[in-house]
Amino acid sequence: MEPLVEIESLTLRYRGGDTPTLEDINLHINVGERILILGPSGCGKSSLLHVISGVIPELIPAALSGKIKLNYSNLGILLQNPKSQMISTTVEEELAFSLENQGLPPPLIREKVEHALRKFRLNHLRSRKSNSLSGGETQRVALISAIISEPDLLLLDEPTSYLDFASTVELLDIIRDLPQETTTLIVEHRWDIFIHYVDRVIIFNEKGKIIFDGSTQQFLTNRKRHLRLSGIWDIEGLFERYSDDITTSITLPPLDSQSILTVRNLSFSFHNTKGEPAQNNRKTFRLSNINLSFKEGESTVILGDNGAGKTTLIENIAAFFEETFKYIYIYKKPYITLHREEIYSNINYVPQNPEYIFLKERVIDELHYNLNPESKNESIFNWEDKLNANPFSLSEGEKRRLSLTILFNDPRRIILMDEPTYGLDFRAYITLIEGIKKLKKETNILIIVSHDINFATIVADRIVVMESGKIIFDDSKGNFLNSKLYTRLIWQKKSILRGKKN
Amino acid sequence: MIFSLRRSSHTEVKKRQVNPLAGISFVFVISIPIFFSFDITTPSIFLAISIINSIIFFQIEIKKFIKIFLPLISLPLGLFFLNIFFYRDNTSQLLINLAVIKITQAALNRSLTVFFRSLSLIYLSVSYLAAYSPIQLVNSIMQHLHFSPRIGFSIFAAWNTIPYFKEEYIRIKNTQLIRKRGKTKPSLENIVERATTLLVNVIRHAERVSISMFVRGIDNAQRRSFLNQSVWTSIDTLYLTATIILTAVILLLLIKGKIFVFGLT
Repeated sequence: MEPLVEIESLTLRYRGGDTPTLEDINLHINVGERILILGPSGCGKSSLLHVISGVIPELIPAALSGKIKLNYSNLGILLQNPKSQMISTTVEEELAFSLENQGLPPPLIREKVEHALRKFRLNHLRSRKSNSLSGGETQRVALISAIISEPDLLLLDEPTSYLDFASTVELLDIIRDLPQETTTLIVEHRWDIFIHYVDRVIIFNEKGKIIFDGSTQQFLTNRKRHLRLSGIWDIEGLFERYSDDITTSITLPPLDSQSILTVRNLSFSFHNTKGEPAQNNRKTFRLSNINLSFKEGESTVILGDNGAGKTTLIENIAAFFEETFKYIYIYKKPYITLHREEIYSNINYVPQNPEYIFLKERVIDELHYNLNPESKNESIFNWEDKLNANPFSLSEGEKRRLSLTILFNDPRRIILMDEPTYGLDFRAYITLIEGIKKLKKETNILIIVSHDINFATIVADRIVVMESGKIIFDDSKGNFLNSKLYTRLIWQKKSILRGKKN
Repeated sequence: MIFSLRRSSHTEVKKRQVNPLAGISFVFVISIPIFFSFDITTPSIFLAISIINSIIFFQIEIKKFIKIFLPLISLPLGLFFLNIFFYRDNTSQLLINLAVIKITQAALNRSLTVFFRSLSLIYLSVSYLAAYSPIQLVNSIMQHLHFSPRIGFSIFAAWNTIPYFKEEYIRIKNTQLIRKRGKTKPSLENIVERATTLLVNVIRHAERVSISMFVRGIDNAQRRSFLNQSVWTSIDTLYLTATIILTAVILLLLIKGKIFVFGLT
């Protein structure tokens, strides 16, 4: 049988790019194969998907050389940011979109949509506006929209980057249940999540060259070598390297010691400008009766699933919403009695979207802006060859690294980080951990929002777990590691890694 | 009277409305004589027709209508008072003469004319907005006038992201404020910095939406079908024909009776 995709000697170069993004790629993808594509940030994994989908050069201009033969007739794709994938106004119409483009008769479209809504338990979302869905719901709808037209080739671009464990399990269930003849290409940083769901692994190096192309078994046999060569995710290496940090539990300051930052009886819900609840006309409390005290020298990681309220909580602490200023205190003074200058002279923050923090046109200007005079001007990440680049033109991983560098250059008494590990490859992840360990010595309070338990157990002294806008756990890391909650979360995770249903 | 039952793209409520395209045609046809008239009777008659139409054919959502209409009433009222107090015509009969306030017959006529004309045009537009969403209109145009689905769905995607970008702006503003240690005064530089970040995000979002549409086959959809069909029935044709004939007849009668006064001022 003819391969579904045939690529020979492909080299891809974007306009204005000095070096090729992909170089001398030779790839044959056969019908029914499940392939995991691994590689460090910016190595051209997503670009390869764009070439295979035809987006390059149809929509994104780039210089291509070599031979590309695409033999598929129907394509499904899940992009990195599923929110950007939503086109129609309701979930039902979103699911119907690709079927409508195929010109199928409306009764058949309705039948297929009804079937998908039932099969994937989405009936309750049928009439929901697509812009009112949570992150996990959006990801599910986007994936089902991609597979509803029964594509012969399915492309998934970092499908778990915005997902918590529960949503990851759902996603894996859907992937496993795909028809055998559906060829699937998955681009990911994390090999451990998908390795039991694929039969072939392709690894890119940072120069956009394929350095490994073999079976899952071949990859697993020599994985340490492959991981070291490419600089991609090595979960075993992580545990080996930080076993002391994970097992060392620091005793938290006594309860009666003085709190620097306090949150008292904080409840919060988003409203639109007309004062109505923003989501689906239902009063949705994102935060419910939150009480937290942060003491000198503490580093806290706030864990929780998508939609648990982690980001909303950290945004409240970062003084985003004036209506809750009377519930948050810094040095015993409520925010409401302070000017923003007083609050922000103590707080620094890096948001989930790194671009929000950029103010300048060149990386070098960003690095020097607000640079603490006492700082030794040592950047935790290397920017040597990117100093004159525009921050907005960097790759997603590079933007994340730049936003973290900016934060590390201007440490204040309280540091807030929202999902700092998103989009980081393994090397950057390790550098971040090292940077945080250093930062812990320089700052008073560190509060990090994350859904990465491994990261939390390495960098935290204290763990807070949130669920549906409430705090369900708040104790030292030692007590967290011994808790039933941790056992449950780890069991879920191991289930994923073993490739079994939760 | 039986109208086509159609499924709204926004809600599951089935309304007995005319097609959004027929509705917008009504607004367009009726607004022509109002726009070109400069008398009280013409806009008043067409305003009355619009009110009847909005109840029977548009089935407007009263709450939504009031919310949009009430603030806009200030415009015809403003024009009324502007003309009544400041329009000067020394040849006209003086009706009120109280110190600086002088109101003439001509000023009163002119203010009422301007008031009814602007009120009628506002009523017409608002009644349409309170009856149909822009999404319904675009859907109908795509299905009946073969408007490009790529542009149509781009409008849907843009519509979807308005609330998302409102939240984004708050986040950008506050994050940049934190970076500047809260030391910021309203300045062009701040506005440019926020706008740049927002614009970059908007462009990137649009690029992703475009990719999403492309890979899901929008460019090869010459014979695209629609799950939620915007049905054009004979009732819609009849409704539109009746609107045109009725408007033409009334206009002719008004012209013949020398009631219609042409004017654009």
